[in-house]
Amino acid sequence: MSKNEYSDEIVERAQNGDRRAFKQLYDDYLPRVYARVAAVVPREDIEDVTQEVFISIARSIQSYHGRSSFFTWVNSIVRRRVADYYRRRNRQLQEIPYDEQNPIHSGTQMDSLSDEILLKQILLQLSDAKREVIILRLVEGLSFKEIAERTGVKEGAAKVRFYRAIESCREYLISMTGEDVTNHTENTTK
Amino acid sequence: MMSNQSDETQDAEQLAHFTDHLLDGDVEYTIPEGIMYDLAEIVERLRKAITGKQPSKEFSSELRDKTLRIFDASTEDASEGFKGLIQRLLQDEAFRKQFVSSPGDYLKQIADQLSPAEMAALQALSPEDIKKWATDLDERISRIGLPWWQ
Repeated sequence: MSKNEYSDEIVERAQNGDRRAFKQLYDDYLPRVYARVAAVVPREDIEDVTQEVFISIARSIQSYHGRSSFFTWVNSIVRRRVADYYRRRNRQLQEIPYDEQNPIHSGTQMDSLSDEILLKQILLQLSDAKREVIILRLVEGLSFKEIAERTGVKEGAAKVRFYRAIESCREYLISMTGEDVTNHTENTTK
Repeated sequence: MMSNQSDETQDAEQLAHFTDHLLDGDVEYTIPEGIMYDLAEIVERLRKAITGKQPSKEFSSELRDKTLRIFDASTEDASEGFKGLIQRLLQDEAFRKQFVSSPGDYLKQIADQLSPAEMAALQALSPEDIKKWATDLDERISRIGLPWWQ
């Protein structure tokens, strides 16, 4: 039985009011939802946004009609709750004016926390398709073959999409920080 | 144009290969000459920034309890579609007759508004069940319209 088929059966039982099935769904999906939220939301707010996602799922599971996979449906809720979060907090990057004289950070001064905030903001600027391929690859650790199956494209196209997504990140990084990332010469994964 | 596409595909292939080693924790892996170091570095920085976050046990447990309470409350309530159907059956005699003669057609129309459990329950009703229920209902409603002494 594939993971989707397994989930479909559990989802149906949960929709019929089976508490144990819903509990199992919660246990299965919490780490994935949490990781997805953590990829785009500042550390201090990850738990709040994750909680909002699960409250939405609990309230609206009856409205899932199986037109997409349950995973896709859950992801759409994650996207909406993250968007709500940024609307509330008014943190969307386009609202932060870029000051050429005073870029947000320079490469050497950037500590890991500010780098994390910056990169999460950049990720939010990407199109859904580009952000999704980065999350599937780096957060969920899927192979490009699996990404291709999940997103309905060929494996080569998934690789090109990932490449273009990283290029877009580079462009945002340069425009937001003035950081010239093209001059780096380190050549190992360390 | 063709060569640009080919270059991009080749670069994409190398970057993909690089992420295989990165995600495998292969720290000794040397980036091949063709790959752009800056893209590889962005991948590494992204990985550090956005991965490895897991919920604490306390948070998981608290949220599980809270979510289950909300789930319990939501499953006790009928959907708006189901409530609307019952209300219309009670109030609209013409609709009641139409529904009895062909319940499947109307259920198809409001399928989006019903939970799967409600839909399954309604579909499981036989035409006889529905007719009997509608007849009982008609009789009761007729009696409501009569003076109290009858």
